[in-house]
Amino acid sequence: MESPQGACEKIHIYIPYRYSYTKCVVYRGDHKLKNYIAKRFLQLIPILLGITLLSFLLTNSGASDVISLMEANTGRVMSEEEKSQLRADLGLDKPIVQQYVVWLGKVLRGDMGKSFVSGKPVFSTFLSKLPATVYLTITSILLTVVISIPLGILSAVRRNKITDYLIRFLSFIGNSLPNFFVSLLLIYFFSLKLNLLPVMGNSAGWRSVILPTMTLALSMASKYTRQVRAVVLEELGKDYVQGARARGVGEKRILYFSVLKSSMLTIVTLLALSIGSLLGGTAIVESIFMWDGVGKMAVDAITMRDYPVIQAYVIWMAVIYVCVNLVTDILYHYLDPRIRLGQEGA
Amino acid sequence: MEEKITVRAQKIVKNRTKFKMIVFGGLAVLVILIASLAPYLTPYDPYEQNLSIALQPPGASHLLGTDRYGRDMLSRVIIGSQTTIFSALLLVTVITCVGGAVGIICGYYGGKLDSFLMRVSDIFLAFPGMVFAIAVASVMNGGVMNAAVALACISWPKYARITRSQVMMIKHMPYMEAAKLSGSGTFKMIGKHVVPNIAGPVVVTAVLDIGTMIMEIAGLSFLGLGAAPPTAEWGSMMSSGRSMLQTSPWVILAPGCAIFLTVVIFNLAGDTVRDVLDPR
Repeated sequence: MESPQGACEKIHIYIPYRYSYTKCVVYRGDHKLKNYIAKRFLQLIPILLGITLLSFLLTNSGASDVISLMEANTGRVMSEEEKSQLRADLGLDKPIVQQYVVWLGKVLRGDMGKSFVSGKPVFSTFLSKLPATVYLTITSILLTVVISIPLGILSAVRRNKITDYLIRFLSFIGNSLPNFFVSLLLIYFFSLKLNLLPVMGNSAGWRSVILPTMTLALSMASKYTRQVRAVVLEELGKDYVQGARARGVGEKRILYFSVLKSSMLTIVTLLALSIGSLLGGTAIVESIFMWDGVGKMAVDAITMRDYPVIQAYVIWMAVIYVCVNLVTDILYHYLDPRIRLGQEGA
Repeated sequence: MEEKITVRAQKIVKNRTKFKMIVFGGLAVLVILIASLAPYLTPYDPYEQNLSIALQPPGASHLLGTDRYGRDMLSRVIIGSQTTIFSALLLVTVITCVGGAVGIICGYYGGKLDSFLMRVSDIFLAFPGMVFAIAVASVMNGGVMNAAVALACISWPKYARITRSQVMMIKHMPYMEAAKLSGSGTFKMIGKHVVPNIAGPVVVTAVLDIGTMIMEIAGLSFLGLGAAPPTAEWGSMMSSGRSMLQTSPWVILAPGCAIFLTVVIFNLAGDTVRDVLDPR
C-alpha cells in the first residue's frame, strides 16, 4: 500500500479524543514516529492561531469601548482629545487585521499588555499565579488516581455484584453534584462544624490544599472511575483472557499481569485528557476557597471587566491544554508497542 | 466471557428498562411540569421582601426557611427552576440542532467544506472546559441567555463530531445507494434516510447532557455571569448565600439540593434513554 511515507500497511486505531474515541489512520511499516510527531506539531500551528484569533476577537468586540471602561475603572474623567490620543496610543484606530497582527507579535514576545485595574503587566502576573494552580491540579490528579483506579478495577472485577453497584451508585452521585455545592458543603462540615481545616487561602500550608483538592477530585474521580471500569471490562472480554483462563492461569495473575498492564495505557491517556476539564473547573473552586491561582485571578478580573487579564487567562489555559494533549498523544503512540514496533520492522 | 442471553433474561431486561423508563421519564416530566407551572405553585411571592422575618430557619410557615431579605426559600427555589431548567433545555436543543446540522453537512458532503468546519471545531475544542465559556460570558455582560450562548459556543463541536461520524458510517450503506439510485434528492436523502438513522446516539448524548448543562449554567450564575441577583436562579441564590454559610446554611442547601435532585433525575432519565435507543 502506498502512503505519503512510502510502502507500508494502513491500520486503523482508536485514540481517545476529548469526548469519545476518534478513528485514526496509522501507517505501519516505513512510517517513522518522527514524521508523526512533526505532523502533529504542524497541526498545532493553525490551532494556536485560531485560539489567539478567537480570544482577540472576543475581547475586542466586547471591549469596543475600552476607553470608557478604563475611565470607569480609574475613576478619572478624560476629555475627548485625551480619549482619541489614548485610542491612537493603543492602536485602536487601525483596521482590525492590523491590530491583530500587532497584538499577536506582542503576545509572542510575552507582552500581553497591562491590567486595567492594577496597571501591572498581565503576563508576569499570570506567571506568578500559575504555580498555585499547578499545585492544586497535581494534588487533585493524585487524589483522583488514588481513589478511582482501585475502585474502577474493583468495580469491573465484581461486575454486577453489590460492590459494583455501590461504586457505580457513588460515582453517579459524585457526577451529579456541582463542584461549587461540594465545596460549600465541605467548608460547612470540615471548617465550620468540625473546625478541622482552614476555610480559605493558601496560607495554612498543606492543610489548606485539602478541601479544594477534595472538591476537584470528587467530580473527576466519579467520571474517571466509570472510565477505568469500562476499559478494564473491555480488556477482560478479550480473547487472550479466555485463552489464559483455558490454560489454567489464575484469575489474579490474569488481572495483575495481563489485563492491568494492557489497560494501563488507555487509563493514563484518559487521565491526561481529563486535565482540560480540571483546568476549567479550578476557576470556581479557586474563587470559593480564595486560592490565589490563575482561576481566581480570572474570576476577579471578570467582575472588574479587566479584559487583558481575561485574555491572558483564556489564551494560556488553552495553550497549556493543547500542549498537554499533544504530549499525551505522542506518548500514547510511543508507548503502544503495536505502533512503536510497527515502525521498525515489517 | 460471552454471556449466554436466554429469551427469559432478555424479557427481564426489557421489562426492567420499561419500568425504568416509566419511573425516570415520569420524574423528568414532573420536574419540567413543576418548572412550567412554577408561578402557580409558589406558596409566597418569591420576590416580596420582608425584613422582619429575615433568615428564619426551616419551619412550619416557611418550609425551607427564608433568605436575608425575608423571601420564602421554597418559593424562590420553585421559581428558580424555571430559569435554570428551561435555559438548559433550550441550550441542549439549540446545540443539538446546530451541531447536528454542521455534522450532517460535513459528513454528507465531505471535501473542503468538511475539513474547514472540522478545523474550526478543533479550535473550539482546544479551549479547556469552562474557560472559554467564562470568557464569553464575561464579555457579554452576564444574563442567563448570554451564559447559555457561552456554553453553546463550547458545546456545539461535540455534537458536530458525533453526527459527522455517524453520517460517515451510514453514508455508504446499501440503502443509501438504493435511495440515491431511485432518484431521491438531497433533501429527501437527508430528511428521510440520514436523520432517522443517526438520531439515536445524538439524542442519547443530548439527553445525558441536560444535567451537565444545568450544572454549568448554575456554575456561571454562581460566578455572577448568569442571572443577575434579583432574579431567582439556583446558582446565583447559592452565591448570595455564601457569606451566611455558618449562621444559616439552609440558604445554600435548598437551591443546592434542588440542583442535585434535578441533575440526578435528568441523568437517570438519560441513562434510560440510552438503554432504550442504544442497547449494548
